[in-house]
Amino acid sequence: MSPPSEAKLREENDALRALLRRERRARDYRSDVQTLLVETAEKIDPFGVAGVIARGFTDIVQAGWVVVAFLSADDPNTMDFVFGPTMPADVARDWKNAPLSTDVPMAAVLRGDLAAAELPDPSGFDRWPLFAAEADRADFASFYCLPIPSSDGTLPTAVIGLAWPDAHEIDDAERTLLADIISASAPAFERARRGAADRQVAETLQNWLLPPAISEHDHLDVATLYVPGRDELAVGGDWYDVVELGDFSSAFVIGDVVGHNVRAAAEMGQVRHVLASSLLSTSGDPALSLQQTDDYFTRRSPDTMATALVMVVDAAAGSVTIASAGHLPPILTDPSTASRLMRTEVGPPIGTGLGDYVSVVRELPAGALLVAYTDGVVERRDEVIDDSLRDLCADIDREVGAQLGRGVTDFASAAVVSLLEQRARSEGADDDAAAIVLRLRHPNG
Amino acid sequence: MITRTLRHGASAIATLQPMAEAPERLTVQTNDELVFFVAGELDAHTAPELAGALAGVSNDADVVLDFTDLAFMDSSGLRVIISANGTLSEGGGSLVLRSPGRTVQRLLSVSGLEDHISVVDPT
Repeated sequence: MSPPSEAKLREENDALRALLRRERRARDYRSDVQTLLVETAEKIDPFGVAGVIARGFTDIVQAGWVVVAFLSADDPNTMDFVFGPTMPADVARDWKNAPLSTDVPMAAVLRGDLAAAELPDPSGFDRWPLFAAEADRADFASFYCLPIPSSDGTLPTAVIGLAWPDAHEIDDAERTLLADIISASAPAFERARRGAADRQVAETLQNWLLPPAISEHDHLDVATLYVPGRDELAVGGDWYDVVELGDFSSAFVIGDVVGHNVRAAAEMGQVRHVLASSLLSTSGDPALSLQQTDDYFTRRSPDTMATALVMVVDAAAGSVTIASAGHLPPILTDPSTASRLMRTEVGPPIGTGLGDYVSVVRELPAGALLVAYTDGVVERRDEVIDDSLRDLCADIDREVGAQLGRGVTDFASAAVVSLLEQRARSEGADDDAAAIVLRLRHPNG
Repeated sequence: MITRTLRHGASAIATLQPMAEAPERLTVQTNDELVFFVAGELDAHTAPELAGALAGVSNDADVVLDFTDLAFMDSSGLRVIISANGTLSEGGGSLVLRSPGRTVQRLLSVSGLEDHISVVDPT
């Protein structure tokens, strides 16, 4: 048996070294993937996760260019792109987003038309003219597009594109590595997408449920407040509303649906609209409107319960007609006297079916403030409600007194609203809160 | 005497952050005369416990909710009471609140429910 030739030895040595190198690389990969996992877990939106993945793939796989694409949270027919650091800036700028229908491999995989796209050399690029042009611009000669699967096995949550400057066939080791990274990052992606969707729903609900900016009134200063609660979705059941009835007459509503979640917010939208509609159809009859709304919800949605205060201001007569469905009493602050609770006839909450509301007419002196609010600005767990309301009146008096002391009166309604906002945001106040502050202007100004 | 204890302490937050055994915030114990002894705090988190306890009661029953040891109640608790009151009075039964404290009485009156919910032995 002849001794192995030197060439043969060198070949075996090289093979051994390559093997060692691959193993070292595999070990590094594992720790890199671990790092990637930790980093993606900290990201709460798809852009953050995609950024980590794009950077991570660029480092770990040593691909020339990396791009991650996913469906836009704003529009399901659009895909957003996030690029790794090596992608030429002009390409990245032109491809921030694109219609999902675009004829490029990444869109086809994201749509589910293709399981994956594997283009190890430019011969496969011709099928995709738009993509071929971009490959030319970015100067890459091979491209792989792989899906990041969703847990329910339907369409991918995202797709990842890897490109190299030369023809590049990914080998089994690379394929295993890619599969590992992809399955490790999939949950982070899914979590982020779900979180983004939840926040989107909450924000949309909130914006849609509260009235747009209150229009200017000829005879009244109107200031309003809504402070979301501190739960994870920041929506709640408190609301305010304004219904214009005539030149001198407007209805103001403050209310609170029992419960603190998206369901309470959705119910609030319904109660708000039914009550506003009743106010219009009864030409601003507070008691009758509450009665109709109570009837409606008792029949249609017996689980809904809400308190509400309706105040119809007659600016010409200087009066306000009030009815209450189990709501906290409004506060009247006349600069010449201390704040006091306005006496109202309190009926049961809306949705109880117990009905029986009574409207009372009270004088609304010009210059006085009428403050209506929800318990988010008063509720303190360990106090009797009367003590809390007395505190609130004292706070308002202090605020108005300070204003008057500086010779300011016009700011009073806005100042009282900021006082209420401070209370609603104070330590220990987790509830959402709403308020509306009215001030009848003096006839001469 | 049938004694049933329901407990509830975990809030939505607690499911995200594992914590030590949550304190018992509400207990509902009932005897065979349909007196429900409600103790602790009745709020948005614990109200479903009371609702659950009352769900098994027949519509024509005469139910007493004993609030002697109820430390706190908010509008979510009120909703359970109103709902039970409605179901029972429609079905020919009745609901009485026994020994509510001043805060619960005030909650009933500011909510316009004084004339609609029966109260005995207020404290």
